[in-house]
Amino acid sequence: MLSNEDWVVDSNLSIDVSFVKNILNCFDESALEMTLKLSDYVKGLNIPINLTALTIGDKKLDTYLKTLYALRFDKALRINNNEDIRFLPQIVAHVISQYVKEINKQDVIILGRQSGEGDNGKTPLLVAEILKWPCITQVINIEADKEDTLKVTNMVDGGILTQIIRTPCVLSVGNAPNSYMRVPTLRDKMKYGKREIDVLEIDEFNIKALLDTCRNECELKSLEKISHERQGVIIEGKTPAEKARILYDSYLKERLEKL
Amino acid sequence: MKYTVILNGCSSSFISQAEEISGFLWDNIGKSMEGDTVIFYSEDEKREELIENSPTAFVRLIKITRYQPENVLAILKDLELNREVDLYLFSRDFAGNELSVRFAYRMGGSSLVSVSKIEIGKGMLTCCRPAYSNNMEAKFTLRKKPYCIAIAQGSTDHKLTLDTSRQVLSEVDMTNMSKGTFIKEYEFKGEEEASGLEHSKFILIAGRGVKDNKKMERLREVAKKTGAELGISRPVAMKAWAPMNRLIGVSGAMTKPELCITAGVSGAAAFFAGIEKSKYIIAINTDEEASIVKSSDVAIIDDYEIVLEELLKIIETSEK
Repeated sequence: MLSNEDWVVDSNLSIDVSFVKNILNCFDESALEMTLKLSDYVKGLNIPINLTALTIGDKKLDTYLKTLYALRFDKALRINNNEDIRFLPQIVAHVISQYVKEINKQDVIILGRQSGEGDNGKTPLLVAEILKWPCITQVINIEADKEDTLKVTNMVDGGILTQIIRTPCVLSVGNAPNSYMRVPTLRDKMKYGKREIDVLEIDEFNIKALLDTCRNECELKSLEKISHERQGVIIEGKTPAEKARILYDSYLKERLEKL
Repeated sequence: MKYTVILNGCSSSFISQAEEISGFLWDNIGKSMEGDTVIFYSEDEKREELIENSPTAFVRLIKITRYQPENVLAILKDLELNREVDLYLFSRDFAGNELSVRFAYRMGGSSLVSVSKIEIGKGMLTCCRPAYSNNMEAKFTLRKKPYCIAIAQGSTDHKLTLDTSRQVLSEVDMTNMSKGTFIKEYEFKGEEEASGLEHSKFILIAGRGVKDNKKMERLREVAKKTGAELGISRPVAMKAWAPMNRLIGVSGAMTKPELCITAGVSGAAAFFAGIEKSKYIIAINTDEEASIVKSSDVAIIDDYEIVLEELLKIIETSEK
């Protein structure tokens, strides 16, 4: 987590986060674990399955892709990009859809619902629209059904929906419990985790004109730190009991009575 | 400039969604624009209630078998294709988020979700929404009509209902629409109990510092004994130690209690957004550097378990 002082916006409206440890986005992590669980199910039913992992970004991301090789993904691909696409989900969706349409056909595309930087919450929906595929959002569980059907559970307003659906489709992963990504065994890391990552250049996806259009249609004007600071009075005391007593007498009693 | 509100009348939270849209309209648009509301619904017995709670005086009704986004999108596109609407407003729930983005794409417009405020300009719409997991506020200018906006949770404190009578402009029955071949079977399970967090006056929240399910169980008891609703942060939710509807934060409940106590919560911005409207925040955490400490009104730096047990003793004794 960055401290308050580290949120510095430069003249390009960028924020330097290079010194912070990189982690997988929580929704992406759930999406990956669900994909691995689905693969386990499908293999149990003797249905063939082929897993591809795709990310867009720079070389730093290769470490995640190598882990996915060690977890037995069949293909790990990085689309090399140095453009600022934090707030351009249309570009991300365009590249993913074009890859699926023209390079490596898929039956199901599983994505996290939202990234931690752009917070756009749009990419899976736009992928579905570009491909003209149906989409299920807020997915919390995916199970195999038959060769061209899946059993998908998702959160909807007011409850939980479980559906048997036909592929192709886009699944956007939401708040899924018990979906921390598994860790590969050392043996698998040694055996499979050293494969070279496939790399394509983002320019191969004809994004130049689209970049200009998207930047004009939805232009980022400013980024400002949201301040959450309050008084933050720290209660001093020798023991937890003493601190609890001070908290109750000076800050809590009256407020509890008013509830 | 014209606007249209799109609401899902099949949702059990329709009234609060409509109220929030009304508040958003009041805060951001006032009476400067002409608007109407499209309501999708399935149950005849709810029809009158939906009309009465419409955020605009003019209402258009569409009857469907059940809310299914693929069908709703197809209907909406057919319905709106030849109308000249500048701005579409969608609710802040799952349906609103999904429809705003997909509908904008189909209409050749632009979209943003989680929008907290808008400003209408000549040939543009300026919108604010959170970015960087709620650490930053981003301001955008949209230039492609129609602008399709899903409002943010808690973006308004106004809860207004119009006192003018409603007028139903049109009614369409789409219950005979083909169901398509995508869904073979479905089963809907309504929420067993609403968490009540969004209206609770006193909330106790468990964070990553709660190490196991047994400790979680004890916190549940403490919450019950002190009259607090129990909330959880994301790390606890991911371990499934409490139902997902107890999750607090941008992807869960956005609360505004009088009193909020956090136990072992670090205070990531995406979480904090869910309690930032609390009147008073008390943080208990072993780490003085945790961001929740600076974001609280008062904090105790110690083991939450011992502090809460001591606090419970004091509260129980004082009640006798």
